[in-house]
Amino acid sequence: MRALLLILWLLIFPLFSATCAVADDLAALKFENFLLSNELQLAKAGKMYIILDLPASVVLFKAGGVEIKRLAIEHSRQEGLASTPSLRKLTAKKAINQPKRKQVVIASEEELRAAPAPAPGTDGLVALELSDMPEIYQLELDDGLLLSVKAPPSGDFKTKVSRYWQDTIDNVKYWYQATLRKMHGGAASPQIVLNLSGPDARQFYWSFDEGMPFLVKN
Amino acid sequence: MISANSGEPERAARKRRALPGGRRPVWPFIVLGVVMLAGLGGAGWAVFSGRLAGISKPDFIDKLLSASKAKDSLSKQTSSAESPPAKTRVKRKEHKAEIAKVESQGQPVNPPESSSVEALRAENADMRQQLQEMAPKGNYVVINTAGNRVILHNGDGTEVEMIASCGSGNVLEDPKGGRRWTFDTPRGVFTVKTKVADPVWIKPDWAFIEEGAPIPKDRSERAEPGMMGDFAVGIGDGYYLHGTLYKRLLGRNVSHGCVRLGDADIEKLYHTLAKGDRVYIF
Repeated sequence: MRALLLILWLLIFPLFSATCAVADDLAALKFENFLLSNELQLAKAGKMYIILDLPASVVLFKAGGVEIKRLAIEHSRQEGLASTPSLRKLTAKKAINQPKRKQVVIASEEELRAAPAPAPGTDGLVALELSDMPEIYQLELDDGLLLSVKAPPSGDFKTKVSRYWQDTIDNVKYWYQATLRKMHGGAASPQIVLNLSGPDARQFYWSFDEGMPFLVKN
Repeated sequence: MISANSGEPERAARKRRALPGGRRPVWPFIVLGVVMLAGLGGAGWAVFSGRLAGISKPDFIDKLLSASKAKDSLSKQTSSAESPPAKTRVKRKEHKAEIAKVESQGQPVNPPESSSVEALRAENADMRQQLQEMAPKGNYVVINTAGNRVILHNGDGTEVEMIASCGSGNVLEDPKGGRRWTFDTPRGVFTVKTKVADPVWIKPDWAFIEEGAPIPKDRSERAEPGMMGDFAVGIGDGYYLHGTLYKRLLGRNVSHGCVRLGDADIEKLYHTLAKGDRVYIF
């Protein structure tokens, strides 16, 4: 009898495990189907969009089915992110050191002639450049998802200390807000922490404005 | 102390189960065989017919099938792998209709609720192919405004990187009229609209305001030949990729929104790009 039960179990178990595997497969395919449907829709509309591919650790800038830029994610962390996919839009870029546009000064020819020469080591150019972009910032998406982008601290000791201080403040702020929300019965807002290299973090901030569509693969 | 006869009751029990003449019963093996065959047959039917909560052929079966089809020609194999069964095609048509409907409303598209694995695989492959087909086959240009780089992608897959000057991002306000200009290079997907040799810059109002000069009423006073170099490629809305007199500033964000390039680079773009070629700016 025991032998019979064992054989029956051996027969049923592979079928059961196969069912589970196929169910997982189906869920993954549905997720991919959602992403592809929406990507196709954006590509057909001739829009530029971002794919945040967390399993592949890349941020892709795409337009019309063409990959135009790829940024490597050094490390990422997800908090409270639902597995259901959705098409998101960038609603706000928040940084402590927000880059500010410079105002063109209208000067007469005499004033220009009388203006002092640029300081040594500077070329006197007035422009908003990549170096003005922040390395730590948060991108808010329309469904409440927060993308926290951070580059590893670089520069002198003072800059590094200020960076660690800023990181700590950001983390405390997030956890404080999440706890408050939970206490009031709401769910903690989902967050993705992305660690990019310094130039990539600046490029990511530079390249897109509010309204940019985001597809997140997680 | 264990005696030598300790196995005696077990042997007696075995004797009781044995048939007269010492033979063992055969029926349990027959039952087992029938159960095994039924189980395997049922599982096989479920898998092949795509039933059982959306179960379809597992990967290894797909591989076996595709291996057997490898004897056929490559084109035949591709078409057979990518052409779904009739039922699937109907579902895909319905889903495509849904996509088209939602596209017009600009809302996200949701996947079909009750798709089988096989149908989804086929549909995903189809969409991946559509995305690939949307990519330009010929020349196109990618402009990185942050890095001040222009990359010309040739139809043959090669790339040429060029140093450029993109928009400064500065803001100019007209002290009299209250007008405001932001000198950004626009981002998005554009196409080549015009190609001009020996272009003449028609100075817009902001150029006079910036210089603190009065805005002329006569159009001919706005013309400034040579400022845009020898060639210009227009992408619409008054934005051009063009040459420059300020070559030492290439690589910096100094322009008023146009993309400035060195003489050789703009000449190459002028001769390589055709009207309608795509220009991606980010």
